[in-house]
Parts: sequence; C-alpha cells; structure tokens
Amino acid sequence: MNTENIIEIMTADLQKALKKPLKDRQWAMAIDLKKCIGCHACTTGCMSENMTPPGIQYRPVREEEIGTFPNVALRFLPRPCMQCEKPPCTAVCPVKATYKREDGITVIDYNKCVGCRYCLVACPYGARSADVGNYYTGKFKKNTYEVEASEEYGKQWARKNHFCSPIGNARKCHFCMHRIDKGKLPRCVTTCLGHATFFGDISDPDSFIVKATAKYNTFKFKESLGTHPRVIYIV
Amino acid sequence: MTFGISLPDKDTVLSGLKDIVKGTSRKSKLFYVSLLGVLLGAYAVIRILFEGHGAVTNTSNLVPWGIQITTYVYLVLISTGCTFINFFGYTFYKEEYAPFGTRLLFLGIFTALIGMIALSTELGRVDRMIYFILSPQPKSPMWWMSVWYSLYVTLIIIEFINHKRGKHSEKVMWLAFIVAIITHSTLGSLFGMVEQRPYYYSALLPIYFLLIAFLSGAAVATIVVSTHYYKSDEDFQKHVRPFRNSIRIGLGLAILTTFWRLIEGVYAQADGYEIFRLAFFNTLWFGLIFSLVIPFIVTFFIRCQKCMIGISLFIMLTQFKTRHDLVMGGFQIPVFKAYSTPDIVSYTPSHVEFFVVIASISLVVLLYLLADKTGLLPEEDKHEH
Repeated sequence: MNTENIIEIMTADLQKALKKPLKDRQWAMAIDLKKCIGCHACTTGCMSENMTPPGIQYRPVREEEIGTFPNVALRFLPRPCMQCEKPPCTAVCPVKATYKREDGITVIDYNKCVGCRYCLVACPYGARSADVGNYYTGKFKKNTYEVEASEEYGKQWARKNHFCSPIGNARKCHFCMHRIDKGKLPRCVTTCLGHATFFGDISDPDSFIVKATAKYNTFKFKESLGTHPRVIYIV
Repeated sequence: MTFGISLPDKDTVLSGLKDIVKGTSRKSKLFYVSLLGVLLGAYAVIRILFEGHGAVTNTSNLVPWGIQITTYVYLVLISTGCTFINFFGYTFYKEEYAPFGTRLLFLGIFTALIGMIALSTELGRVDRMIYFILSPQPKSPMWWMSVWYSLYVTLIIIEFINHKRGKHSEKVMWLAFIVAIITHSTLGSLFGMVEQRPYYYSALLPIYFLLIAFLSGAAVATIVVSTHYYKSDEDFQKHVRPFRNSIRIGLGLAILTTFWRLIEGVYAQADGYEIFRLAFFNTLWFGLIFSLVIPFIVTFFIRCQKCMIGISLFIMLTQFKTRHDLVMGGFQIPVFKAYSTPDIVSYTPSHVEFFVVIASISLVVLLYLLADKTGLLPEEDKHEH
C-alpha cells in the first residue's frame, strides 16, 4: 500500500464515521514509532494550523539518545494530547470549562476558562499549555500572522490583545476538531513526512487505524495511571 | 455605635491618622514602608493588566503556578492560624487571650482577603470568576475551596462584628473553627490530590497544611501580643505564655510531619519521586533544622518582648520560603521532556511577581497599623459571655 493511499483511506474512514451520531464515533490516533524520523513537521504543521504563540506546542516530539557508544540510536516520541478516556484534567477544572465530547475528544471552552492552570498541573503528559499572551515579535509589535484568527473548536479566535481568548486560557491539542468536523484529517496526520501517524474511528472494526494497531505491538503512554489514552504507539 | 457595633468616633480616627502620618515613631516608619510596598503592588498589577501576564511574569507551562500562589497559600494559612488561635485562646486561655481576640480576627479576615487578591493576579481571566457560581464542578477541589473559602471569610467577619458589638459568640467561634479546618484541609487536598505530581500527592498534605497554619497563627499571635505595652515583665510573661507554648506545639508538629514527608519521599522509587532526593539537603537543613528545630530550641531560652517578636518574625520568614519550596517542588521534574525541556526546571520570579508578594504582606501590615491607630482595634477587649 503506498502512502498516498493511506491518507485517502483514512479520509474515507473519517467521512464514513461522520455519518454516524457523535457518540457512536470514537476518534483515536496511532503513531508508528518505527516510521517517525523526528522531522518535527507535525509540530510545525500543528503550530501553523492552530496559530499557537511562542512556548505552546500541542504536539512536541521527544528526542532521546539511547544506548552507549558505539551502539547508539535516536528515538522519537511525538506527544499530542492523549484524549484520555478518564482524563485527570477535566475533573479538576473548577468551572467545567474543559470536558469530554461524546466522540472522545477533550475540549476547552475558551469562553469559560478562568486561566487557573490547575489542568496544567493535573495533566500527567504535560499536554496542556497556558496562553499567557506572548508574541514572536515582542510585546507590542505584532505581525499580522500573530493576530490572525485560529479556527479551533469551529470558531474564530483572534489574538488581538491580552483580553481576547484564547489569551489567558489553557490550550491543548484537540485532534484538529475543527478539521475533523469538516471531514478533514488532523493537520499532524497530513504533514507527517514518514506517514507515521494514523487517525480514525476505533469503534469501526473495518477502519484503517483498528487494522494497523491490531497488526503490530502497541503501547499507551503512562497507561499505568489509569487514564486510558486514545493515542496508541506502534513499536 | 452603628447597629450596635462599637466604631471609633471621627476625632479619634482623625487624630490617629494624623499621628501615624506625621509622627516619627516606629509605627509611623512602618506605615510609610508598608505604603511604599502597596504602591509597588499597584504598579505590578497595572503592568500585569496592561502588558499581559506573560510579558511581566516568569511562570511558564513547566511552572504554571508562581510565587503569587505561594503568597496566597502563605496568607490563607496565616488566616487559618489566626482562627485556630482564636478558638484555642478562648477555649483554654480566656483571660490571657481575650484582650487580643479582635486583633487576631482582624488579621484573619484581611490575610484571607489579601491572599485572594494575590491569587487573582495569577489568574488568566479573573473576570470570569462568575463561572464558579454559574458552572460549578463538584469534582474539583478548587471549586470546593471557593465554596468553603466564602463561608469561612463570612464566618470570621461575623465573629469580628460580634467582637465589635461586645458579644462574643461561642457558636460562631466553633463554626468558624470547624469551617477553617474544612476549608484549609481542602486547600491541602487541592495539591494533595494531584497524583501526577509526586511532590504534592499525599494524604498527609491536608493535615500538614492545618499544622503549618497553627504554627503560622501562633507566630502572628505572638507578634501581636509582644508588640503591646505591659506594666511589668511579669504581666508580659503571663500574657505571652500560651502563645509561646503554641509556637512550641506548632513547631513540634511541623518537625514531625516535615520529617516523615521527607523520609517517605526519599524512600519511594516511583517516577517523579526523585524530587525528594533532589530537594533532600534543602528540606533537611533549611526546611527542617534551620526553620523548625533551631527556633524550637531557642523558644526555651528566650523571654523578653523583643526576643519573642524576633523568633516569631524568623518563623514567618522561613515559613514563606518553605511554602515556596513546597509549591515549586511539584514542578521541578517535568512530566514530559520534549527536545527542549530541561531535566530540572528552575524558576526565578520576575520583579513584578516580587512586587505582588511585597504588596500583599505590606497591605496586611498597613491595614493593621491603620486599624490600630484609628481605634478600630481596642487596647483591651471586654466581652459579654
């Protein structure tokens, strides 16, 4: 199967899943660590899609050097939000600004978040960030791309000044929910050079992601914490 | 008298203000120093509001809570301590404690309120606090904290009003004591329930917070008692004895909990517990020996007013550093290390954050001095029981 086909197959799976009611589709992501080359294209693609300011990366990639010389190797671990089935971050939010959508995505209501950052403290994966109003070009001078509206959660969020959400809020990966709802794959899936990231509906046994994860050895990050992550790593 | 509450008359207030503004006494000097501290805080708040939190503070995704949270925890534990001392003072040492009851309650109210102001400077969107009422989350310790905190402040205000009406109510005092325990153990649970941060995660933390609160309250009460005029040393010793004992008890309990928290942490091998080994020498030498064991021993050898003020101030200062070490300890080992994440996270507050700390403590001192000089806080309380 060539890589172009994978994207097409996953897009078809996504559009098929969208025909089901929200609660009947359960989104998940799989990352094939053997294929990840540590190019950070997913990180940068995500940053441009969600207009994230300095210091905020929804999907950083951990680089580790393993082994001892001369037997050394680099290992990469991309880390999106795990969209846990039992997320520690939602329970601690004092105002229910963050919650799980019926399709399994943990979302943040930017209009409700008080910016207490308790969810940042509670997340075991460090997947949440606080948007404290930083700009790449300094405090006062802002380039147009820095104040352009992102389309997160299907709305327009322009970072014009520090009284405009999402400034002051917690932010995180949401599997590009605004793209999924339009039938598009998350940006990190489409920008992955090695086609190492798979996405789809795990409640559909015929979906590509179910077949791909069934075929190989897999693990979930910090699974022992009982968070039941929706991101599966293929090794 | 307004609604039965004894308030100072206009002349007393004006002469008190004139005295503190134009005077050259120590209290006048302290007034001006505190005023300067408050002005620094006003400058800090303006910078945070107009330039944005990110531009003027050094908190980050790795250190989401900075020194303003430390200040909040520090001040509310003092507030709880004042309520505890008020309760134990009236229950066990009524004669020695009663003259200072109103003062301790005044400090209890304002440390709680000013702690809240310090906290609000750390929130991203303080204008959305209304959602604590409109969209409550009963699973969150922070939401419960807001509920109990509101009730706690209301109760100690009622207790204060009762004092000003000359009618001390045992029922309100008991209620305030119980709610203080619930409120501030909930604050401990806010940290203690975060399983992902081993430095916080512990059933001991809510209890530890209450014991530390008692110690802080005892130190504040000792300062209040020791800054008064006494006819003789014998008179002073009679009044200070319960508070000196309270400090000893507070220090003893703090030594015990700090020691076992450290040992259990060092003994654990699970991921994240390396923070206890990393902080071992700081906790042992500073957190335990320097700030708890040494003052505990010293209290057996000092008697004079100045010495009691000195040891209490020492406890207050070291407790601030210990609170800061506790809050920051949770963040030193990052939960996820990306390519740019350091192995050990460090945090130095910005000058704006320092100004918030200085202003918060200065505002408590300033309000206390003003209340003292304008006659709101009586020299002696005589209550109807």
